[in-house]
Amino acid sequence: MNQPSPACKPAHIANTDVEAMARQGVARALAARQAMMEMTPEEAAAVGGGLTLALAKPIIYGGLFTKLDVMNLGGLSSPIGF
Amino acid sequence: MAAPPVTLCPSAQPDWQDARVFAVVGGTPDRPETAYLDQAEPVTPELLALASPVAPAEVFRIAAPCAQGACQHFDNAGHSCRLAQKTVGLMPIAFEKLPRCAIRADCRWWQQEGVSACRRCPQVVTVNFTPTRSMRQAADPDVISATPVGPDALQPAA
Ligand code: SF4
Repeated sequence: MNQPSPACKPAHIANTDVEAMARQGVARALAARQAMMEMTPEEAAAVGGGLTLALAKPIIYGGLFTKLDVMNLGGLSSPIGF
Repeated sequence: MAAPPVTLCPSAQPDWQDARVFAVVGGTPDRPETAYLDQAEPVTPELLALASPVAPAEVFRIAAPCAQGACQHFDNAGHSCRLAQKTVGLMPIAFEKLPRCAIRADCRWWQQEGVSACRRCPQVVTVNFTPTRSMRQAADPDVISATPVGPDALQPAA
């Protein structure tokens, strides 16, 4: 997990740089989906307390009021907790 | 006359009313790092298209008026956001220095938890396929308490 980095400060970008930064974000998000699919059962159990099935779903860190298929999740089932 | 300030949720979805993008999450799957924009931008189809083929909330941090009692994270008795409490109680500090954040003055997490929330905010990904144990626990609306369930676990690196 992230360690405190007293010397570092979170990045700040100009609005004109959104497109370039979004490309990095998409690359990270695709890698995250890939990493989820490649987890071993042991890794899945360590993270999810044994609920391997649930780990095929993302978490939603926030409120959710509509169905996920409007969020471009590619047919994945409902996220944890919903 | 300017509209009165509205308390904003910093973990909203793009389809919420008055949603605006205030940051973009880069970094890596096991170390996401948010880059904060100079100014929050209204959500538009063109902006959301930049997240294709993944969900916009996997890439963007989006703010919108806090739904308060309509949200499963809201504690009506305490009139507070449990997600903000759990973010501070469960997540490690990501940065000691605060991000320069365009929505801070109106952000519910800031208003409620102060700098403790801002030091943790840069690691939040709203739709997250590789959460740590503590992120998973914080995001679960059924978990009320901010007591850690055990050592945090890293997801495998991509
Ligand atoms: S209660 Fe918290 S998570 Fe829910 S909408 Fe308000 S700030 Fe966002």
